[in-house]
Amino acid sequence: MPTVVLGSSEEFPEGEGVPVSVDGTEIAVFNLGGTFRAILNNCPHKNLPLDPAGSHQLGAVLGAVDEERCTIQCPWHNLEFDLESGHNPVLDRALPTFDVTTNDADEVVLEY
Amino acid sequence: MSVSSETSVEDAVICDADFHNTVEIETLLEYVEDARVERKVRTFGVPRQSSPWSPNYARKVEDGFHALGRARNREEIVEAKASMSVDTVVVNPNLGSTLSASQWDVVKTELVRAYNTFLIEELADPSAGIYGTVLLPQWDVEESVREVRRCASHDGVVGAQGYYTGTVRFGESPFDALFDELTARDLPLALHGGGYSLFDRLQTYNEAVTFEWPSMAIVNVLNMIFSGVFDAYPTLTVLLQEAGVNWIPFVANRADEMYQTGPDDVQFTERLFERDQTYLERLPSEYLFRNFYYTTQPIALPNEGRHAEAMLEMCDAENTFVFSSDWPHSTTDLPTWLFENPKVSERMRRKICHENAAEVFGL
Repeated sequence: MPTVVLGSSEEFPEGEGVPVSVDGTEIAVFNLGGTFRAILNNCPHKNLPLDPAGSHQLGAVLGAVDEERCTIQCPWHNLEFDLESGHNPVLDRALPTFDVTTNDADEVVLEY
Repeated sequence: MSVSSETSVEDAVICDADFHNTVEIETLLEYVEDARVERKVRTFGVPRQSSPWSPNYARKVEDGFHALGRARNREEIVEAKASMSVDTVVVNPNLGSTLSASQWDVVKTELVRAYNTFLIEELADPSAGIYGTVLLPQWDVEESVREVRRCASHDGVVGAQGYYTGTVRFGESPFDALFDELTARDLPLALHGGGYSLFDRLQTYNEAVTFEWPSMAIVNVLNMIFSGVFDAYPTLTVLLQEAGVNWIPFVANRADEMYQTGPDDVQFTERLFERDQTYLERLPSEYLFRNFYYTTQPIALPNEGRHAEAMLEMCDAENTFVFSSDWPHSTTDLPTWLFENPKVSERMRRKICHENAAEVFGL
């Protein structure tokens, strides 16, 4: 399985998403309390990016990142996705997810 | 407006014709002149909308009205429109929708006056791409006319703001005084949904939000057409906001079909009776496409490309649609769909993104 170093773990703030592009595939990487999860960065509801989930804008938190349940809500219209399986219970379909680890240099590494 | 490259959201010129600013009570109270109203609102808040629905039961977010934030002043509006790559906004506050479906008319009128003063003194700023519509206390047409006269000369005021609800009928003849004023000033009437009160015994918020606002809009569209508003005021432009668009072909065809089957009672509507006019000057559908514009949120285009293409054509989208986001509600449409859907031509995109808005609002 090929891997790619996405950057230092410090570049991935807790509770927020970071967009990365790997070989043309747009991926959102989330830091859940030091554990990293990655999911295709495209909500099928309105074809909008998921990575702003958990970010702040004008007094609001866009969508949500739930560390305990390992889920995110789409920042635009709140469709929920399990970050381990990519599954959404409303559509009963799953977005692709990707394995993410950290290496000895404390870098975030994505398998694809 | 000048036009540059229109191939990406970032490069295009985009006007948002249904952007909601937030007015906090403390801000509003600074502009309330009547001490009795000031005391009551300070103590108990703005009269609540008489709605049977709690939208939050249908959502995962606590406050769907502010899901994407609050824009309370010019700086926050500028930040919000930048977040969508929108250049120009025509703001209307959540407050207006609330007041359109609540009680205590005297209090509401005072609050509308207060908002309009806030709008022209603190908010509207063409140099920052911020325009607004003057709120109408539509429960009092004389007062509505006074508000238009008081505020319309501000160069940031580009229209009058009413609300289609379950109880108002904009075809009724007392509104002629308002239409006189608007057409004399070449100002459009923007009508947004307000409250949920048309149908009983719905079971979910989804039913209400999917169907009630389009239904209330259609009721008012037909009421205005069949009572001869646009024969008396052929230059009156009405912008329907958040009413949906997919019903336009059905209403156009059904109204024409019905009118040709039974046209003989339009003469008994008050306005046409006074004009001694037996029939409408045009088919109903002609008014739908000549006098009305429609904001795009909620767009809800069919997924199938040929169906989307047909829908856009049947709605005459190129000439009738005006982009809107509904920011910051949980139902916000970003402008991205206009750039991703291959059935939206470059010309159609340009017109929907800003040219039609410029025509409606005289920007």
